Amino acid sequence: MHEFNTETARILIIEDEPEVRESYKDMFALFGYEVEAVSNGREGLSLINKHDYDVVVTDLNMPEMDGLEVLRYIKKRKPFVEVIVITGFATLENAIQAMKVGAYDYFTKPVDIDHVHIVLSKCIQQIKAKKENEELRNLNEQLKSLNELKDKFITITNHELRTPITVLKGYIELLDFFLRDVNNSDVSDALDVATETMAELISIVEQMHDMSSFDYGKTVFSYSEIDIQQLLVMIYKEMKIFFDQRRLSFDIIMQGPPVVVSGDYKRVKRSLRELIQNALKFTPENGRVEIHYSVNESNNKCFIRVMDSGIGIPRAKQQLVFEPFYEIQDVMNHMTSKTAFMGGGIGLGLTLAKEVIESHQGALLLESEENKGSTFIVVLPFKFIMAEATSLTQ
Amino acid sequence: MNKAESSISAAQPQDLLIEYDAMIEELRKRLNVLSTSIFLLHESSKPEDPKLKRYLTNINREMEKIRQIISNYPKNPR
Repeated sequence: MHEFNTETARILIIEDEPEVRESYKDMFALFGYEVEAVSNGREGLSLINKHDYDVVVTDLNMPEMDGLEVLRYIKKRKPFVEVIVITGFATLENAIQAMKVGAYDYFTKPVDIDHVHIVLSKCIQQIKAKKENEELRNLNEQLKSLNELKDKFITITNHELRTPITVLKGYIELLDFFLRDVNNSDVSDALDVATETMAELISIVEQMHDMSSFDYGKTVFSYSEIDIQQLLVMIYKEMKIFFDQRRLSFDIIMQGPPVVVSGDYKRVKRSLRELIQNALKFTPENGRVEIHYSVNESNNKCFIRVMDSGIGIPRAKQQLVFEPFYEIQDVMNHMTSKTAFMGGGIGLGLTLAKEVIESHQGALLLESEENKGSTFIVVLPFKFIMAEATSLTQ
Repeated sequence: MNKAESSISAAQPQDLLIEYDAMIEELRKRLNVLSTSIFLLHESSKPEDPKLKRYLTNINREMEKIRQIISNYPKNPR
């Protein structure tokens, strides 16, 4: 007995002789196909119009409507359906004519089971290949149009929005300069909101620009040698004032020699700032934020831990914080300052930080306990240990 | 969550466009807040100084430009 691979194609048989029709039906079913059979061309066309078939196997010589007519109809209305004709040896010319009209192949009566199986398998493979090509073509079209849209967004963020935002920022600064000394709390409150919102608008446009520049993994980083200790001290000094304003303790602790990391200075700096800003945002008054620096010389890795005594992140939500636009706090807080407790932000900082660090063959890890605090751990490979320790000012 | 889920660089263009949509919405929200605060500023300062009036006019003009850009933002065909 022959062994056949199961296929999932759907086949319609059109054959006027009942015994022959049944034998074809059994044979094709044995091959694993889904088979239906009818006795004449009209019934066949009626089914073809109602259901989807991959292949129609039709006898050529039939009363009422012959196989050639069925073939012509199918090729006109359902060009993706393949047709195989069956003919007697004496009427081979008809089969050749059918091939010219568009039949995939022909069987001669009495059919040979191996030949039928080979022809049907090839036919199904060809249909599958055609469908896959069609899907790929559609996908390519879709990607092309999505890429065109993406280019438009880049134009919007990089060019169109930049000018009015720059002008707007300038006038808001002028307003601030002009009205800051006016002794009116309504005026100063409105000015504060305008200034903070302006900063947020700029930040969103910058983040859109950053996302565009990632270009699906083809980001061009500008690599240089970064003294990580020196960078941390710089960030510490730049951000200390925000912690003082919020009455938070903020310390930097260096354990280990200074190292040089090969990386994109601006992006690494921004990523570390995002982590520290995140700690600032989620630590309540009188809380504590610490930056710990350490080195593992045996595997050439440096570790930067940003530890806070803040609200912490529930275990179930810990993986979500790296998702774009995920914010642990209530969305109502979005309108407040980025440095205020549970303040604003659009939830992209940690996503971009993780992205940048991983692009530097590093890792960004999170340890957190609700109501106790969080620690974000940056692991970065370093190139070499520097000969002299960087002078640190705390 | 695996790396692909959190990664922008590994994301499909479609994902990026969804994120752009959300960011445009954030821009719109901030613009509304700014617009309200400028209106309140105008109301509470009652500007008579022509310079101040001009600043406020120009701010409103630039906000309108941004609004136009955002409203012409191409729709994501998802």
